[in-house]
Amino acid sequence: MNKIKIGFIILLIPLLAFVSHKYYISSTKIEFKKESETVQITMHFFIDDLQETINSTYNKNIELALPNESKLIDSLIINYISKKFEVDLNGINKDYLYIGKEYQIDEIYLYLEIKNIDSINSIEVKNNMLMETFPDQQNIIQLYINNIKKTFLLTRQKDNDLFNF
Amino acid sequence: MKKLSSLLLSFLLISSFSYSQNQEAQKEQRKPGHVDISKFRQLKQELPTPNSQHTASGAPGSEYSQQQVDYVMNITIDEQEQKLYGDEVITYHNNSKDNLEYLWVQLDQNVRAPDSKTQDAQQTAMRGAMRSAQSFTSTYLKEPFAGGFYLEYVKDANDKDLSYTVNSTMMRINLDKPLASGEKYVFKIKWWYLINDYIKEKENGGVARSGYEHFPKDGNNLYVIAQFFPRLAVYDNVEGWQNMQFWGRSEFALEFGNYEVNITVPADHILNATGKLLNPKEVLTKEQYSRLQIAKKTYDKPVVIVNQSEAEAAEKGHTTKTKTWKFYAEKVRDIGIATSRKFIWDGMAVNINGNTVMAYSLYPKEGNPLWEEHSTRAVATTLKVYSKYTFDYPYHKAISVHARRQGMEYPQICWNYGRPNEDGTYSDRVKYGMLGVIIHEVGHNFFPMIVNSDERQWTWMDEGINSFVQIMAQLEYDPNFNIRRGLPKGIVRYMSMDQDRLSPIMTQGDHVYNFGSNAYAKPAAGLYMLRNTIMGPELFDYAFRTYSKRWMFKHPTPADFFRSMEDASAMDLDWFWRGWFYTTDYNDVGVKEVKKYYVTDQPTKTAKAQAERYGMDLDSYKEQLIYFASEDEIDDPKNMKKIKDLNFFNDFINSLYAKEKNNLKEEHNYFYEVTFDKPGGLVLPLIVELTYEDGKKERKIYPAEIWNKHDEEVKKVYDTAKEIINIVVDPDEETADIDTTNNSWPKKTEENQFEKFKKQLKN
Repeated sequence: MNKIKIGFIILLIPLLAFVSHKYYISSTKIEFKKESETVQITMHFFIDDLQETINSTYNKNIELALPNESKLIDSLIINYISKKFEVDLNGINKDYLYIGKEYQIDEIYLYLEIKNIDSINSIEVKNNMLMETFPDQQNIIQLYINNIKKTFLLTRQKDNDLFNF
Repeated sequence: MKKLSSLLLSFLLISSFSYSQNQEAQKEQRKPGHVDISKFRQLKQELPTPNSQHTASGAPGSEYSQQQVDYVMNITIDEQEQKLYGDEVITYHNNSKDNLEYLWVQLDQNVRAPDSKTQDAQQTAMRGAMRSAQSFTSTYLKEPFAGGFYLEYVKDANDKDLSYTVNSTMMRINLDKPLASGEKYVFKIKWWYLINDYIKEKENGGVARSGYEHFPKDGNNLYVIAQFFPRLAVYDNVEGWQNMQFWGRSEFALEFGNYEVNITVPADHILNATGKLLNPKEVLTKEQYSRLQIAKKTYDKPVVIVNQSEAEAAEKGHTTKTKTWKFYAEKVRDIGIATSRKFIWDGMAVNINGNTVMAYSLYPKEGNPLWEEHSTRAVATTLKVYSKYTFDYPYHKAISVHARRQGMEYPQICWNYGRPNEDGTYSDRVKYGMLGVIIHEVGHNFFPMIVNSDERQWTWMDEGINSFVQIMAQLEYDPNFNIRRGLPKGIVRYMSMDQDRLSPIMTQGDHVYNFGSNAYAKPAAGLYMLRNTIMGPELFDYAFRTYSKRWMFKHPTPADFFRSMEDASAMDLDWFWRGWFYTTDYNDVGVKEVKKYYVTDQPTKTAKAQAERYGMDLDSYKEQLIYFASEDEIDDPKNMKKIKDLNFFNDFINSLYAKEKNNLKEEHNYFYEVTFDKPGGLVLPLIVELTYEDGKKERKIYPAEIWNKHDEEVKKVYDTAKEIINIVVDPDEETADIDTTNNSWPKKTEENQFEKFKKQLKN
């Protein structure tokens, strides 16, 4: 397990990959589990876009989702997330734990976790992942906290947002 | 004294106040009247009034007319200057009943002009940092690309200059006198434009549908050329002239016509385009020509017409000589051209109901080995499957062109992405991505190249319908194809988004949020659901084919689709169009409550209470009434009687004739009253799966009309011979239910995706 700085998770799904105008959108689900005092973060990207971004950021030529993937890939992903995704809970910047990743067709899911959170009064999320590669990137954040469901959108123009409960 | 009286007064005031409040409240209890707000009300106010062009049945009417535009064009591509030169003679046939004071011509390339309003309409904002000196330079220091049409002349048939007015991506030809109904008008345009490097354009967020890719290793370019000529806008009785500008997203509305196109390119290029190649012997070597003849008779595998070593030799050529490829295309709405020294060309014959159609692919060596293996075969499968669900493919060919980061359709030809690594290896993701895009873009030949809807107004009519048929073609090509778009389950995430970020499908594309989900995936998922869950394949397929055939080579509107689907199936689907296409409502159904009942001859508490209310003496109904006792009215279910334990019941059964007796069902002793609730706004069929104590399952499918008088919740009674242990709604996740946590009885505590993953990791 690698400990990394919490950022905000973005779910990136290029919705229009089949068409002339590819659309850049990702989503990140942030769910507070009071019973276990944890915050579960599930990020969802399009593999190609994350790959392109990682390669240009680190000047590499890696390919994601191949069998026998190298460990290097996880460390690059972790490093990248830590630079781009931040979560503040109750006004305090939180570290998150990288749980792992999962590929589904052409999408990738990344799982992060924040531990020892007994209550959430406010949350601030910053997520500017992939925006340097795709100017039109939109990162959707879905919050499931204290029985409240809230969705908001981060873009280059506004890549963080704050919510009080 | 004064004190007391004011106190008294205030008391009186309060009571009189509260009295009048009560009066108010009583008055308010009666709600005001309202218009029909049922989810099942007809779409009469949303759909245009039928007329003799677009009829109430959804078919073209007796007075349906459509303009025709024919073009004779000479095109030259100058690879040194990256310029395209063209001249054209346009013949416009006014088949409408109207006199036209002017003609509108579309100048789509102007979207790339330095003064394009598309750029002006984009928001710009500061960013914290820039990635590189290069991106700083291209953003802040570089002159904008000098794209757009440069018009050399616009003349009439007698070479007299015509008066015209350019408004961004459109040009009005100001006619001296109106063009009368039934007349034709001939005019000429000469132009040139700078061809864009579409890879660079895409990197800067552009939405290139044409241009070239440069290959630095061998110095060659691969051209995919489109929107390259001034062409007429649609005039009809729906929009008048299609007068909405091309902003870069919402695509095209085009008339059918016949095209003669001569295309001059460097002599060592291999080229293909919309239309019949008229001079193959002039442009191909003898061997290539004879391979082409073999391909036309080969139905089982692609035949290479221009092979890789020929393409590699041509890559080194860079001749200054030119060659002219001549095409004639009938009844097409547009022309696309692909040309490069790098092209390998293969093809195979496809049998479409006795007619031979050619499936072709053009790709550089960089596409291999993936492209030689799959592209042409995918084209062939697409033509067969789409022909099955719509009409026999009426054109003579369909070409798939390899173009990095493109996915774009034109009549008979399309650009598709999917490039292996430099060493020729490729992942499944690249392979299925390529197959998906080829099937999608070739499928566009049917929608909108032939069923020619107005893309500028309604993206879903081609993208959504096409993405739906695409699913069937993908599964035909490979039964293990992972369908990534168009299944109802896949649209759940979109439909559960914040309502602020959603638009109804019936929204003009330029101002839609989440365009891909809105205009591609959601309509496709809706049609999938309509076919497989609501109508059933038999009724759906007939109606869908009816719509497709009715509007071949014509301009259908959304109403024509909605009406045809109902007209040909005898299913009122207005509720479905209204919910799925006109609103952002979502589906959420659940099992709210399950009450179990037992039969008894003893009056229950409920029965007694009711009897008292109505002054009945239950004793006088002994041996007549069968009571149903709910679970909470009995002590122990084990002590409960079965129906055959009631003597008067058995007496009745025994009094029946043997034939009647034999026709009775198995005895039912279990009774369940199930309340289904519907927190979501959509109405859809209710699918219920019952699991019995012996593990056997039974599926109940209720039509959407089950909600027509009970929009919030509805009850159903199940009388069964066996105990029911589990009830699930929408067990196969076929209705895009956005919250499945309320779908089961007894309630299932579901692990979320995060927990599932963590558990899996532990194991």
